[in-house]
Amino acid sequence: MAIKKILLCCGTGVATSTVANRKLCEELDRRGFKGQYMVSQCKAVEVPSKSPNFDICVSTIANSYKCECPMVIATGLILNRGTQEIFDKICEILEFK
Amino acid sequence: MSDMFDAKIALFHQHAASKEEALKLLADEVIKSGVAKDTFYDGIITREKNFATGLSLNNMCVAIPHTDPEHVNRTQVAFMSLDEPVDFIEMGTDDKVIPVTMMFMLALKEAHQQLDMLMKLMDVFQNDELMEKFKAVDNYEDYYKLIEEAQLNIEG
Repeated sequence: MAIKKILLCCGTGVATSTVANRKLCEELDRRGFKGQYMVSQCKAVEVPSKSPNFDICVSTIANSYKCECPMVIATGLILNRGTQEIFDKICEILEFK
Repeated sequence: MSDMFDAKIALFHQHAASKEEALKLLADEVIKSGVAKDTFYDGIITREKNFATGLSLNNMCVAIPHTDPEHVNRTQVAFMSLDEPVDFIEMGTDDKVIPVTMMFMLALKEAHQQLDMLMKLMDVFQNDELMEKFKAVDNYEDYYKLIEEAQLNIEG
């Protein structure tokens, strides 16, 4: 199976996406998908150019720019709100079953 | 002792008429301390306009204004509490207005480096008792004791 590529974005690519990155990886590994995905962090402004090469974009900020792959708004990961639903949606898009 | 609070940038029980005024008060202190460059405030305002940093917690709303590392000289966290709330937009939305009474302004030099502190800070945001203490604190000594209590004083 091809490795799924996750693009994780926030406004600057240094703060909230870093927190979300750690939480996402921990959960995906816990669900048994370790080694089946890779994550790149970026700034929101980079999403239009980078997203065509990714399977999913997980964003901690509102979706106000052009994204060429499925996107999940994941602000809830920052404060642990609705995290299971966010992870479920990400797994569904990545076809992680 | 070197951690992300050692520049001692904290303003307590301030008054500001707007988000911009509040951000300016604190950003000016960050710039004055040498932690960030003169362009820091413009960077903060631009980021806030495009991608808001308000967070709605259980009993209050806070903001974590930050901007690109190019405006920053070294990683630090600056704090400000406000006696009257100012309106911020909630992160993850385009237009949801929330009343913010505290700011943790992040001057971040690199991604990853400050991850442990950021993870802890997000945990602190979910600790209602600790957040009430941050809201009440009115001097640097007590503030730093809270930072220690919250285990945010990780070496940077």
